[in-house]
Amino acid sequence: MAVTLIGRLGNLLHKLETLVHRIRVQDSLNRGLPTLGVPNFDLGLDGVNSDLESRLKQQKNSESGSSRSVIDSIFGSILWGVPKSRRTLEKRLTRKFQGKEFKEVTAIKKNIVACLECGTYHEMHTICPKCYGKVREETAAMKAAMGEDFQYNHPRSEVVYLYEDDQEDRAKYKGKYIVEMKKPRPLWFAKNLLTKGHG
Amino acid sequence: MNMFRFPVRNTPRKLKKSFGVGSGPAERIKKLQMLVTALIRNERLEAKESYCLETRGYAEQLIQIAIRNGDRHAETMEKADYWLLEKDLVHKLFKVLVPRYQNYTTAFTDYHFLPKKVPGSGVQMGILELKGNPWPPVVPRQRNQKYLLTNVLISTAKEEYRMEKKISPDLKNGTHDKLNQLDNT
Ligand SMILES: [Zn+2]
Repeated sequence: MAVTLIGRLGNLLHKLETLVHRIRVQDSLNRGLPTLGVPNFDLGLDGVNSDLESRLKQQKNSESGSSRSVIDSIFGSILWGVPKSRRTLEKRLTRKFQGKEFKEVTAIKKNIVACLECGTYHEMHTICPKCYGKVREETAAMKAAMGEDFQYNHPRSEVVYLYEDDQEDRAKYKGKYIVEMKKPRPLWFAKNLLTKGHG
Repeated sequence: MNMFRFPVRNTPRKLKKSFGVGSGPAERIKKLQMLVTALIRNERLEAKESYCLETRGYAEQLIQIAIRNGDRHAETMEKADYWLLEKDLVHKLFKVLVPRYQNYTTAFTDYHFLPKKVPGSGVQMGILELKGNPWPPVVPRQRNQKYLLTNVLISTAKEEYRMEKKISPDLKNGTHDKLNQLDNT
């Protein structure tokens, strides 16, 4: 304890001495008096600096041959943008799940409704997937009932698909291409919707 | 001078990879020709949204021209020959679709959104169909929801609110003014 204290005090004294010396020198300079011939701390440092500068100048003059400068010219342009510190796990995870695709999936949908026919949930602006599945199957059956004409030689008049139940309406569709469906009409496929649209 | 009867984009959609990687405008037109042909034959189409909506314009334009010019017009026939790759459909266009759509004042086609598949690629699919087709309807049974109990209650509540508003404003303003005067004095 005592030793360190004495050491500190000694350092302090030394610093004080140097300070006083500097002030004296500056005073003499201001007055135009000749300086005291005591060696100076600053002057010594200056000498070291000048030595370094001279060395650097020598290196610059003879730099083309040295190996270090060649490595710098190759890798200097590449190896200068690197992360300085490690990203924490929390930050990495938040950055990972910030993309658009994750947001779309994880966002709460408030536009989901139940189908009035079957109760399947679907988004409001879309059609019911289950009901459309039925429609698709029925359409495929209807196309198959028509046969090859549908694909290669389409009839040149409106086509009417007649189920077993609607044989009495046959007279209505005179001059139209009638396709027989050999099964009863599905319950969900209402008959009156077959009538022509009005734009 | 065609007036489309549905909202149209100013710029055409880019149908990327319509014929694989590296396909450009030529492939796009080839794909559209196939889609228009399929639409006229099947009267209902299931494809990506952009494909459906891009096909829609070409199909509607074709039908409009056919209605206006008839089948004895050289340019119209040329156009029909270009867009319909299967030639039995040229007859269908002039003999079935033209009489069907002659008196329409709206668009000839309908577009419906299909639900996205989850989990899936997230592609929006849709249905494009010609109106007045013989298939079962896509939107199952469009009911009149006016007389459902909740809707009736809401409508009566609305009416009541409106009636109150009609009567009240003068009275309310008057009372407020009087109260303010009382407060000030
Ligand atoms: Zn349904």
